[in-house]
Amino acid sequence: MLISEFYEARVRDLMDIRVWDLPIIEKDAAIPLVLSILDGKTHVWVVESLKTKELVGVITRHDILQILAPPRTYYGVFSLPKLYHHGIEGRAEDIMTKHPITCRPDDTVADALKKMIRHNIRRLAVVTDRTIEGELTLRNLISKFYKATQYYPLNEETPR
Amino acid sequence: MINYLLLGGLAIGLGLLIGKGTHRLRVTGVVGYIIAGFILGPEVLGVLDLAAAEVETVTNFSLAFVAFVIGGELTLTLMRRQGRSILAIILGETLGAFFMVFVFVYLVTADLPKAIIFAAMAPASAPAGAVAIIQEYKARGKLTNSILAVVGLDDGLAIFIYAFSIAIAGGLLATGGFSAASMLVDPLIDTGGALLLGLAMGLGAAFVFRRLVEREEIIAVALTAILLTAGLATLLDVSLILASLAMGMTVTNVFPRVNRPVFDAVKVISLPVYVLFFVLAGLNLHLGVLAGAGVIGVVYVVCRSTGKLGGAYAAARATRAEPVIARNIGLGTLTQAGVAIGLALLASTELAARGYPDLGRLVLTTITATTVVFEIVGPLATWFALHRAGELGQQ
Repeated sequence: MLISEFYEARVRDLMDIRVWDLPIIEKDAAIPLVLSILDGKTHVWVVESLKTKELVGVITRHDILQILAPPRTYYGVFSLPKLYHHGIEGRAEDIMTKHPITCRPDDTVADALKKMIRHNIRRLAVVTDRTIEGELTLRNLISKFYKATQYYPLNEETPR
Repeated sequence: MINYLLLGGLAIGLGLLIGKGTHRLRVTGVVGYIIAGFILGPEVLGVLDLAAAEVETVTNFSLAFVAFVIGGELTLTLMRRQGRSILAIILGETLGAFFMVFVFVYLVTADLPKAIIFAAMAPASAPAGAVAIIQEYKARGKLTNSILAVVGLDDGLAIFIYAFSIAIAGGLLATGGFSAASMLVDPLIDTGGALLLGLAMGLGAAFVFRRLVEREEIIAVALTAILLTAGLATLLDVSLILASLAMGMTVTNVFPRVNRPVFDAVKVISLPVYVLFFVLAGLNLHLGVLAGAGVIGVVYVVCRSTGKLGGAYAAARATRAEPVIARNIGLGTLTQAGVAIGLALLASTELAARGYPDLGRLVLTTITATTVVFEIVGPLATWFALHRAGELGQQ
């Protein structure tokens, strides 16, 4: 059964490993740079430095919605809200979501999919010891699964 | 037969409406919810006139819910990241407020249980007022970060202080004087039992939450855990609010990232719970009591303010915090709202159950009235502190 095979597949086999092509910026990057990346991508991973690639956050288009939307009523009474910046002043770390949800290369796809549903997200950073090694996006998974239905092995780009 | 469904709809609807109005006036929605309760209550319309047991049930559930949410914010990682001086400032401003209010209320009233109960209300602060100013004026800097950390984290300590103090006050009221049991054994059993209960329930809940995927399941299990913890705390006669706080802390710290969606899911349903809770607080506002509470109210406002300012300053200086933080941090911690009113409501129901309803009404009315004062003064003081520190951006 293809779907069972899909669930049991390892993240490392299906993830996007082109680290050089991943949307990654340093936490000190200016917000206009973030906007320019999100003009074309749905998200950008934020790292401590491009050299170490230690993952510290993620910025999605939804985070930018908070920057663009007019200030709203805050209804929280007992909990500390996330402070939203308005406008383009500030750095990537001011608007990022800290501690993004991640998975490991050895995790199964089923576990990764459960994480996506549980956290209501469409992408996971694949990390080893806090260093980003790639990403697993819903788009990746759809593409791989579609190809698998067209007689490609799940983890290869050539037909079987 | 009382139509509870209609009353519930009226309470939440009117609360939201007036809360929206007070938001527009830049006063926290909490004040609006309380006004709604006051209007619906026996002093004005008399539509909502609930029995003590009914109020107690809703109050206990709401406070358990609130404490669970607050506990969920208290991650060890967050606390470790704050550093020594922030933790010392939290300790300084909470204990400073407690002791100042305790000493001066006792000097004015010569009533030890009363002084302890009022002092127990003083440490809690409210993040919403400070956050509103920081957001509106785009404040940024070391003082801004410190204020956010302090007002966000001190409620946990405030709840612990309350649980310990109310156990002492309860013992004094029951025995009529000092004894080893009233001063030490009972409070330790009350707080220690609550912490153990919260820890056990939290551990169990954390492992269950870890396996859940759907948000609906998460909410259902969270409510189950909150109700069971609150119910068991009542059954075992230990602090309900502390047990729920400990449960939330355990859930969030056992699997920090994995269980983050639990608190996100619970917050989605929190607003109507909060509104109903504050409407009930408004029901218990009595103008006659307010007139009699004048002196204690003034003492409470002055002593809580000086205690917070002095305690925060002393702690900041002792830990060699930067001068800009030491000079101004106290001003950012004056806001008072949800937690203080929650504790006052809990104290009033506990005191009524022990046969001291008048003292309960006095506590609740005074704290509610002073909340209005602090919700006006607090944000202004925060603005002044940030202005003095040069951390305000453009409006």
